[in-house]
Amino acid sequence: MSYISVENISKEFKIYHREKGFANIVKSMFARKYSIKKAVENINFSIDKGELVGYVGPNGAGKSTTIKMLSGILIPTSGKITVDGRIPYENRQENAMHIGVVFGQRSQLFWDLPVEDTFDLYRKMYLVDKTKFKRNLEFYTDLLEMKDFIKMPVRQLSLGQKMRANIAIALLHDPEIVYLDEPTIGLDVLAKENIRKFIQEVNKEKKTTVILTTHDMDDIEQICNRLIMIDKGQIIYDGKISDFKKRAEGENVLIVEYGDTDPVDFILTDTRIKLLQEEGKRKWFKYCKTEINTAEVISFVTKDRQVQDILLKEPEIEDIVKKMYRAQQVEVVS
Amino acid sequence: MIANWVSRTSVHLEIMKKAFKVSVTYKINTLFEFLSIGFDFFIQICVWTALYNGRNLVNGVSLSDMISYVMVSSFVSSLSYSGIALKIANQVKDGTIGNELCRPINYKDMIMYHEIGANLFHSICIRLPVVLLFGFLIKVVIPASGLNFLLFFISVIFGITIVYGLNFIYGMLAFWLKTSEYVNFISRALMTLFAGRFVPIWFYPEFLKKIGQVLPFRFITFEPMQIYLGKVDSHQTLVILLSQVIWIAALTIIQQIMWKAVQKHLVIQGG
Amino acid sequence: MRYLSLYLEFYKIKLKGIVEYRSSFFLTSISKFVNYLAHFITIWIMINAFETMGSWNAYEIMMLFSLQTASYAIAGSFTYHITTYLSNWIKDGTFDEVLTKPLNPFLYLASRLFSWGYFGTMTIALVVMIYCFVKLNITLSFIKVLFIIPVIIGGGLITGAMMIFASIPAFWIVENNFVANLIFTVKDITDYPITIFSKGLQILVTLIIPYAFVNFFPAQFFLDKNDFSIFHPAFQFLTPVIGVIMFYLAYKLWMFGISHYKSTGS
Repeated sequence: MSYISVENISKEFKIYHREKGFANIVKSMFARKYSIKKAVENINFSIDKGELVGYVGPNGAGKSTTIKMLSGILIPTSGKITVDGRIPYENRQENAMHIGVVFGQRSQLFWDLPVEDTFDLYRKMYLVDKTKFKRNLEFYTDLLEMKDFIKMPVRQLSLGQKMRANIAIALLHDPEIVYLDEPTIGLDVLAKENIRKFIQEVNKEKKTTVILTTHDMDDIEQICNRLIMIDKGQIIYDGKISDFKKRAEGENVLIVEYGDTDPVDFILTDTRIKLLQEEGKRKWFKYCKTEINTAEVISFVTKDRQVQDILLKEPEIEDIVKKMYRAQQVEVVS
Repeated sequence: MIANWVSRTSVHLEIMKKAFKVSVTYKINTLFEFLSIGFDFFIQICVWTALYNGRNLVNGVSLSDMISYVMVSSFVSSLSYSGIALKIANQVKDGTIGNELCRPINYKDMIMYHEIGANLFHSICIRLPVVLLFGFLIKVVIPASGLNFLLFFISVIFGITIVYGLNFIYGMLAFWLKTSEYVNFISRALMTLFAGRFVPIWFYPEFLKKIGQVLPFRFITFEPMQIYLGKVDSHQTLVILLSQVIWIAALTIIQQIMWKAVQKHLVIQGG
Repeated sequence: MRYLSLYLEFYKIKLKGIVEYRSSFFLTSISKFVNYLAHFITIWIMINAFETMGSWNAYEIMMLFSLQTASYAIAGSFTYHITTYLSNWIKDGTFDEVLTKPLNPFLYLASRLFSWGYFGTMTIALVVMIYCFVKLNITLSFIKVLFIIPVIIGGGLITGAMMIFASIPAFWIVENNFVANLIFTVKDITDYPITIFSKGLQILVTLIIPYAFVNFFPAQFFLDKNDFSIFHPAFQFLTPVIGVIMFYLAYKLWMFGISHYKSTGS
């Protein structure tokens, strides 16, 4: 049996309708009208110990709902989840001892106090013995470069510093599994880089299983070895990153802004490049990385022309989902 | 000049209307507000009835005077409530009041009219119906003449003006005290003790009456209520109104001086 | 009890935060002290002008209010912020983070939201209590002194239970402050001896929302009074028992609220 197993999980929410009119409001206190929304529907996957899994999908796809069920916050409407032999929503407290959770920008730090003090509190909460605590704290302080702010009151920290401290807290007790919900959201490039490296390092050193949700394709590309994609409550992809990229890379787009003297019309002789859209001096070219590489495309479209600007647009996660969703529907039809 | 005044007033009305509308949307809370105001009146009536214990007059005040005082003064109080001191104090303390100076409309006016709008909603739509209901059931004293009522009305407006004068001053004190935590402590405690909202000043011992005499707080609800209940003659009424005007003038001057100092500092600091 | 040192750590951490911002803490405490003092003084003015209310004099009624205030200070320290924050925390997802901790969510919240801010409130309550005992010339027997502590704690449990009850609707509906308002309005009855109110209200605050056990009944023991109306004189000793029962019920219902939240996501 696998380390984490999710079998036929569905979760329904009741959406209550807001009533208008005074009498209706009073009535609605006793019997409210509602409709049922399926947040996730019949999803299945299993994860082995030590895997680093990216869990992605557009907003409202059911990512957070899944993470909440895995960590024991929500009870699934149907299906079964086991995490290292435990059922998280039935043994929530017991399960919580073995996991670490970071929810986006939600801070578990104490506003008035230095980060250090919060660490000490969490040491007691997770019953971490002193030597292990010291070792981990040193390891994380070093890796997350927390030395220069660990003694500062939390209210003076930057977003990135707070996120680093929160991640360190979630890992203080050496959890076997870590759930990270949007760990890099709103951070600058350097801070993102730091956190990505850290997650990889912890995964390698401690064999920690990591499941992270994100909007940022770079997070996935740089650190995960597996990707699960969810849309409208259903899993639409589960497999290696490299395979996913092949499927996704159909739609690379190059945007070129030409100089004033260039002729407006443009004749494409290479069939591997398609003109997608044009707007004055700007043109959008679509190509497939498997057929032609980017350098070739650039040299082709800029040949003998004055170019003011070139922009390479990586496929957005939403676009990939759309594309995959289309593909899925086609499969169903055919 | 007049056109300017008209356009400004229309902006003020707009702000008041907004605040009024926001209050209307919390319908379910409104229902329970009715209940809790009614309940509160009921408690007060029981309390004063128990205190009078069958006596006709205490310190020249009858039980029916007192019950009228409870009802009507609660209405006046809800009109003259203000919590803006803390808001201003916080903004003065952290310097964000500088940003507010850039807006086209006077910042102080804006928050004041916003609050008055919300207060009007609470007083007229929620408190007044309960007052009228109780008044219908137990007969609340009404002013002897239309003139008395008019004078009462004017003194209430003066009272509200005093409340805002005081609140602006409390708020700006933050500039010198470098903190805002004092606000609740001075504004609430002084009002509890010297405005006579909860216990009218008729029942105060002499030494407390004397202290209250030189403070502005009794002019907010207590003195207007004296006019309402006909406890003062025409001469005393005039003295009350005149005192209110003097207090308004004094508070405005103090406020202006303080505001100048704050502004000067903001200009030097660059906001 | 293996978590005892953890919960103590929360209070220690909060205390540290206060030390960090000393002047703010002292100003808030003084502010609360002075505000309650002003309230006590107006009660004294009111009763004194009329000599008595029912069979109670000014100091006896201040005693009622001081017992109520002391209980409120205890309850407020632990549970007031649960009442005010829960609804928002559920809305913005902070409550989910609470559920990722390996702790009993109630104890965790009560510790995390614990506030030392009622220090001024407690102080004024005790000062007035002692002042009233002196003014009333009551010699405190050993048993009376010993009984004050369980009465204040029991009163704190009753008041705290009410605050918890007020927070529970947050697990079902978004707007919940009207329940809180209603419960807190009823509390005002016990600012005064309940015997000045009708029998129906006396029953309401004794048997349904038992605020009368916070001050009215136990005060009679401390003040050697006998104003029990339709209730049994033994009620003067029941405060700690009622406190434990009410708090247990509130806790159970709150936990039921969580299980509802977990299965519906609210």
